[in-house]
Amino acid sequence: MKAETAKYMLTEGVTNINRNKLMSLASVSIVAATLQVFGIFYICVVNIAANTAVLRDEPEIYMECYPNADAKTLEAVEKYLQQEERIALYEKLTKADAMARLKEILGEKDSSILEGLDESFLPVAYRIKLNDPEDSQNMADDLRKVTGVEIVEFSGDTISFRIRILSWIQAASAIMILILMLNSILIISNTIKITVFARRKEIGIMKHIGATDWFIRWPFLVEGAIIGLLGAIASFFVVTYAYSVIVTRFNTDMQLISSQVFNFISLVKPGQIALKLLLSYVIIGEAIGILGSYISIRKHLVE
Amino acid sequence: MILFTGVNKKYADGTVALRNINLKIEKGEFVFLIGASGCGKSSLIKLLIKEEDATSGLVRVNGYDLSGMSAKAVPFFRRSLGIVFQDFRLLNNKTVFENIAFALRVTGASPKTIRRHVPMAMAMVGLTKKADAYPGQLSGGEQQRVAIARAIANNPVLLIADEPTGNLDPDNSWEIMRLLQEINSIGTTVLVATHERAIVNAMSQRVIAISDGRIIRDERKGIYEDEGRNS
Ligand SMILES: Nc1ncnc2c1ncn2[C@@H]1O[C@H](COP(=O)(O)OP(=O)(O)O)[C@@H](O)[C@H]1O
Ligand SMILES: [Mg+2]
Repeated sequence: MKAETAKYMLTEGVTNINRNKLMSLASVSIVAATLQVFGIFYICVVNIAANTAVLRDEPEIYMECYPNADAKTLEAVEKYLQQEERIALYEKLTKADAMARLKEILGEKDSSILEGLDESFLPVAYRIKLNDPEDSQNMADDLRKVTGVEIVEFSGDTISFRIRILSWIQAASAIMILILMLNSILIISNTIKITVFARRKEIGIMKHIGATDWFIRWPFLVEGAIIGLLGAIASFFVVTYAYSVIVTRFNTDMQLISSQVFNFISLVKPGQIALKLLLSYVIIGEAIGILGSYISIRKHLVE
Repeated sequence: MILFTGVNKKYADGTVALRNINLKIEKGEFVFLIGASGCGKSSLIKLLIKEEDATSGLVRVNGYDLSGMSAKAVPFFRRSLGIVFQDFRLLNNKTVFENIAFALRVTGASPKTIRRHVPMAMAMVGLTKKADAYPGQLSGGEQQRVAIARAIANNPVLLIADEPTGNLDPDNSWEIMRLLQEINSIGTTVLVATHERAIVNAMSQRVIAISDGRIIRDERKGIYEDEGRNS
């Protein structure tokens, strides 16, 4: 396409939007709404995935022995861990470690209640990592049978639960976004239909003076593309702004309680997702806009 | 230039508009197409510009075979024609200059070509002074001259006019017909559908008379004689 012609198509596309302000605005809004819903789901998925990754790096099994278990029993427990083939590595948390952790949890102020107590009432604990996380369940069952072992916990349940939730959210969002996209396409094609109708005389004249179908179509495609782009930009700013506000508050809040929580959740920083979000917004917005107008001009511009 | 061979046209609703039309118009001719309202003049023109397709028979125009023409080729064929209608069909939100330029713009003409050709076309129809006027500010005769300027802007070999004076008073009608003749005199083939009896008789050009979808008369230097029915 020549530069002159391209300029003409752009001007005509903008003119179309100007002539049909109200419907254009409605179209931009529905595109923006669709993309906002997409953005919310996208952010949820990214965050769940990010926090699942954190969880995966945690030891799969946490085990505590009876605090009053004698040295011989503890020795036997450790020996068991050493010779167990399903275990990749383990970390021993001594009574002193437990004491330090307890003091940390209670903080300066409350640690006074520990005064006079020695660490003997605290358990020896182990963090255990397996060669194959699939073994979590039967390994935990076996560990529970070992003499001197009081508590066995593993995070495998949490992982599979989160993965399941994640796939549900993904499926639900895919369906919802599809429905919203179809709605947007419908509304845009309706908007373009109105412009096509308003310009039918012009289109007839253009055909008589030898304009090609594409020459006639381009301004309407440009109209759809502009609507899609405006929707993308609007929702990008709304979603990233709202998300950055939430992230700041949430992460500060979480840091306050994080020391007591084994796996604390941390939201992905807006900067880490902004580019991807903008790109997908522009791509989806343009796809909706161009598809919407293409459907309309196919239906209403053929002879 | 124009060749119809055994052409029939039947519309979807069953109306038969043209019956066995055989017609040959050579390059450079000036031809009147006459006949009562509803006899099929516009239908013949629609076949000529490929707005409608012949039900049967062959239509050749400017070297294009219209029967077998793909939709893609139609715009390029139309650029070899200029078309003028009774109702002018100008863009009311564009100036005279822009209306004429538009015909060139759709063909992808350069700004340089537009700047050269549009003033030439405006001069040809005597509207140079009205370049910046909008159609609504012009008389009917002037609007039709803009439409003619637009039709000739890209130097078509064939100019087709369907009742170009249908909406004009006699003075303006004469002026438009003289303009068409002038365009013909510089080499453009001109075909005019009309029922302006006085003008047809005075201009003494080739006349093709149609009645009820049939060609009933085709005469060089013909006149508009009564076909025995109202016209
Ligand atoms: N699109 C159409 N569909 C059905 N019938 C049509 C159509 N166009 C014209 N006709 C009919 O075809 C006949 C010829 O019409 P037309 O070619 O417009 O005549 P003219 O231009 O000589 O007045 C008329 O009977 C008219 O009603
Ligand atoms: Mg007619």
